Amino acid sequence: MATTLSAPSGPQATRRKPARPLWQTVLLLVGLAFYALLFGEIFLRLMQPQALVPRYVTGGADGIRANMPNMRFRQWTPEVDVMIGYNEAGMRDDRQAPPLRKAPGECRVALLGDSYFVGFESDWQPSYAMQLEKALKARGRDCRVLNFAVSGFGHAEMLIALKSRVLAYQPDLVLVSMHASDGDDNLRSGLFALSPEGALVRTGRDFLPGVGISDRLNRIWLYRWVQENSHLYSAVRERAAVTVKALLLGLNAAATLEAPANAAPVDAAPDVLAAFGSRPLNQALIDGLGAETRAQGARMLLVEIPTSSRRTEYHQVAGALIGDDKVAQLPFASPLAAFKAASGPDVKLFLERGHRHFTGLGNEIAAEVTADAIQQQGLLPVGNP
Amino acid sequence: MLFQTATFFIFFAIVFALYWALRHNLSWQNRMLLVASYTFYAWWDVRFLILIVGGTAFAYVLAPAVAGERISKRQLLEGLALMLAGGLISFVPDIANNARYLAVVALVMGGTAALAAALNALPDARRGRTALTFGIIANLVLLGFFKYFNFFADSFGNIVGMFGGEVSWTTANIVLPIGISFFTFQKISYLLDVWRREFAPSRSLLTFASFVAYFPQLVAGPIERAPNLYGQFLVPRQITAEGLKSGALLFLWGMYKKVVIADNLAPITNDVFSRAGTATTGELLVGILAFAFQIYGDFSGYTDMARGIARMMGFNLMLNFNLPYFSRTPSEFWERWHISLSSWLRDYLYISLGGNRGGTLLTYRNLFLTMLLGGLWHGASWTFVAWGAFHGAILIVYRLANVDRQLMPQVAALQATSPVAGFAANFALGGFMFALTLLGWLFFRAPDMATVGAYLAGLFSGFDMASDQWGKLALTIVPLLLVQVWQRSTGRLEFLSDSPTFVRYNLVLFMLFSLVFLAPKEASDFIYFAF
Repeated sequence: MATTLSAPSGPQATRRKPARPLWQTVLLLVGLAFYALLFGEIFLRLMQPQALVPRYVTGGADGIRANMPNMRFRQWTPEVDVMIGYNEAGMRDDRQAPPLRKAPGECRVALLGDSYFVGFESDWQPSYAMQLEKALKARGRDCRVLNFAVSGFGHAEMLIALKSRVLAYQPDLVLVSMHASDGDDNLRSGLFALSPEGALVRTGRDFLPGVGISDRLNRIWLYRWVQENSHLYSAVRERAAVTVKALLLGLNAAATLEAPANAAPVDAAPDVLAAFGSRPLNQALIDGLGAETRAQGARMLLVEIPTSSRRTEYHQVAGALIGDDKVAQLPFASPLAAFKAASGPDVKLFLERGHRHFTGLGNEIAAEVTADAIQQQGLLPVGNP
Repeated sequence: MLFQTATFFIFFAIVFALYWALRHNLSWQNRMLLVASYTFYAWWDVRFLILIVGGTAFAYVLAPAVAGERISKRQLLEGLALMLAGGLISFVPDIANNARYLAVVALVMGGTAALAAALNALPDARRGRTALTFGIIANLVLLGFFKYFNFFADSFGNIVGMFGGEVSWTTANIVLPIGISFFTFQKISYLLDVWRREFAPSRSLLTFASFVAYFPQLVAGPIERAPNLYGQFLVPRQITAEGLKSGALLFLWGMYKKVVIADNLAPITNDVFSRAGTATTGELLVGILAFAFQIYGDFSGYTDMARGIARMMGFNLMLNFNLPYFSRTPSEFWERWHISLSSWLRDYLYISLGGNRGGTLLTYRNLFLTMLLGGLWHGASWTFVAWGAFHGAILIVYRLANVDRQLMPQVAALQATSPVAGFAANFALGGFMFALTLLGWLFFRAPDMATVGAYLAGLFSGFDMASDQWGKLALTIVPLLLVQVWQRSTGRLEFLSDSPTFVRYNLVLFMLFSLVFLAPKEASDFIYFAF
């Protein structure tokens, strides 16, 4: 029998069951909520295992994100189970950071990029940085690769990190990654914009999205355990991150007074269309990176991270980000052609069930192509070993 | 505005708040519902609002004449005023491009007034049939123009082409207004009910318009009839805690069926049907099974959401699906699948054609014609005609074999004496009927008859059952099958409301987590919106 929502009166009211004490109600609600969380965890593990990819980034003194020094943590997806380690300087490296001043004749190559260069979803040895070190050694160049990449970085943060973190290590060569998300990241951070005259100007003091909260939470062991082990937490966190990123992009893209989308290249994957940010801003940031590098007597090489929609389809991004003319003017390496040549239905160059980073094979091919480009373009000084 | 989108949730929250606030004033509550329903429809394309508004006004004006009465001046003026208001709302926002349509509205208003005068001038004995004929023809012409013009024009051109001729005119660029088949049939059934003296003509334009446009059932049914729904606008609806709870649970179950089952199966179906000529037997089998559950999840999901929304507001919409894949015969299938349409076709088409009153051959003819037209109702394509013909044919074959009259009672008797043997007999009959249903869905889903041919050739060409989608198919449909076996064995369709609290809590959690984490990124339209 249906009951109306209006409050009963008269004899009905006297027949009501005695109200449950407040503490019982609270306890019941807490219990139900806890049960729901447990249910969600089991549900996801059975039905839709999530990628557990914690980042462990904190705020750097330069106002941008930095990897947490000396942090070692696990990343798990249905495809991989790897350990990520940062050294005392926050580099993705199982070795100690070298001294700032390099020895005479020592060769150093610095990496600036996002999670692809960090080597997410990969152990250290098969990561891009280590594969590059091996590839250079095989070509007679004994260089230490210093990995300054931080997950989520765009070129705006790379420009700041170059000045505040990288150049002090006196690199001979700085590799700058170009990934499809960089354009949006450049707008989203709000760190730089173009003046009416087209000059690059710093507009944001810092960009530390969510870092304050995560710093506090990361001090709690239970939180660290949850983010490394809970599928439910990971699923909620990733969805929240997408929402926050979209909000920040909308907010800061409007602030830069730039249209957020450029015409996409002909062969760009449909899912990355309109994700290239503002081309003039991207160009200015790349110019800034090049100028800062040259000012310290080093060279810069842009390394493209192609996108992939399926195992046999790979797409360029550099032309969309900064324009084909600009790409042609700069030292540039792209594994796109090598990926296409190696591709096949059974060849996996990108991981497919996590965050779609390079597989070991993808890292190896990208590193070989980069090493070839470094050698062919003479980007390391003569006299280095 | 799809039920499963944030836009609709916001819309419904606002509508429900106003509905609750107006619960002590029936007239204003109905007015608010009417505005909400028109807003809901206009969200797709405001221009097509005139079809509902104009059609409502026309049926409202005509109904007294169908009942053999004179059309009162008040009723005529009310109807014309509604037509005018509908025309202004539909076309004034873009008057530069739509001025000619306003002229059409004026023409229709003039025609309606002239028709009313002519009907009033007729003798009482002739008025009813004449008014009914005009009413049905007007509705069918409208439906035919928007839905079937291109189909028949194309077909005519093809036939002329077969004889070496050529037609110079081309098909028109006509957009199909959403839900036109549903609200057109609703108005036709109203006029027929009035003609058969099963329902008195409405004297309240507000109530009638609210009934026709009631938004939960407006665009994809159930095709409600006046005797069930109209009266619910005349009395205050009770918003009850029980109604809210069971309505919300029904909505949730419908949304699960649509978003988690149908939308996840759609890519499998699309992929297999797009390469029917090259797919393996296993892939083709997966494709047709996926479509069977996609269309069931899609349409019954929509219906459950519509019924849940209505129930939260104190309305009761008719049951539209009753575990159709458990059917053992074609006639049972049509008593369980899209019940509001099949009962409509039975009551207004099959019986009007003579039903089973004219002997065996005429009965078969009527059955076949009813199913043929039922197929065509779904869409302007020969594949739908073939689907209807297929179902007409198997209805006739089962009738010839006396399955419903002789075999089914025997199976029931066997069930009573030997449950295991009875179960086996029912299972065999149900399995065979499901296989026939799948065969029918092949016609329904295929874009053309060539694809049907290629699909059938592939299905029976070998035993390569390999497909990488078997796992996804099983994972998607097994929860539904478990629930349906439970519903079937307990006889409780409202399994969420009827289950113990702990079981219900777990089921709700399962559905909510599935909706959040297993739903495709993009919400997709309901299949039946295209009909």
